[in-house]
Amino acid sequence: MKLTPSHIRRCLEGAIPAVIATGAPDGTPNVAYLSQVHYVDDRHVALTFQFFNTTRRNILENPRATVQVVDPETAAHFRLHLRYVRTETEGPLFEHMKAKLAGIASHTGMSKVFRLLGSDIYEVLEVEHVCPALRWLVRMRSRPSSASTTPTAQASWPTLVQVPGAPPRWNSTNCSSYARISIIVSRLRSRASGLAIS
Amino acid sequence: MPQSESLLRDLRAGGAVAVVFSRPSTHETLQLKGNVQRIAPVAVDDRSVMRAYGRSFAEEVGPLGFDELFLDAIMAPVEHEAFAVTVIPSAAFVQTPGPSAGQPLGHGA
Repeated sequence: MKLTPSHIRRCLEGAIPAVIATGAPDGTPNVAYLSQVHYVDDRHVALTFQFFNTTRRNILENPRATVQVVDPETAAHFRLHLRYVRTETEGPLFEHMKAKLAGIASHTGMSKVFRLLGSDIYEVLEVEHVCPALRWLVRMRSRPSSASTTPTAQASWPTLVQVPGAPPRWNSTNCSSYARISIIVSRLRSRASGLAIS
Repeated sequence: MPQSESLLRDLRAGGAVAVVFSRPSTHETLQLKGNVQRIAPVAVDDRSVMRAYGRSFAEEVGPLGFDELFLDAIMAPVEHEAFAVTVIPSAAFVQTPGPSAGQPLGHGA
């Protein structure tokens, strides 16, 4: 059965944050959390445009994106392979998403931060059910020979990793892929990145 | 198709990677970019870290209303086939919603 957005409506209720992966024209990947993945019809979804950020720059230059959503009841994961179509800044869809975003902002204490600039409409090219058969572990190292610190696992939403495909494919039709990964995050001491790595 | 098959393919074809982390209780969010150094099956020690991560995650989001069954499902059993991807970060960005979102992580932190 070919999956469509109507089959995963429960994933689009906003209970669990979705994540979007985009790519710059040179293939540099970018991943970011999303406030909303809004069901438009069986071939389209809409995402909130709130900030002029890397995701925004990327989709204007390279309109392919991948979004991962999670079913809040079954924990099933789905990837939506998308193509950016247009942005609406007024009208029923925009107003509906604006009201919904205001609700999310209020609920999460982000009222002063979240502001809808537009509703980005995406064509859904494919909905892929992600089989949770493999897990990944990502070790972050500041350099190859660095000694590991004591792991201090920190909770985060199941983290997503994005990589571009081989460059010749990436720039044409292929999107990034995701995998849920288990992160070892150890408290870093004094790296320039200030990041917890192991 | 296994969850990570396409990821594995792309990692081996390219190697550039971006990873995002977010703490649900505070919305603190961080993105790392870097390159893959090594891909290999997880070691025994890695499994214990994966379990610790799972427990920590459950403690974090349990109070938000997700029950144990759901948390087990979303984290998946750590005994499953798994690979460890060693990544050397080259850049880190703040993505916590707010005025600093998108900025490189501060130097000397």
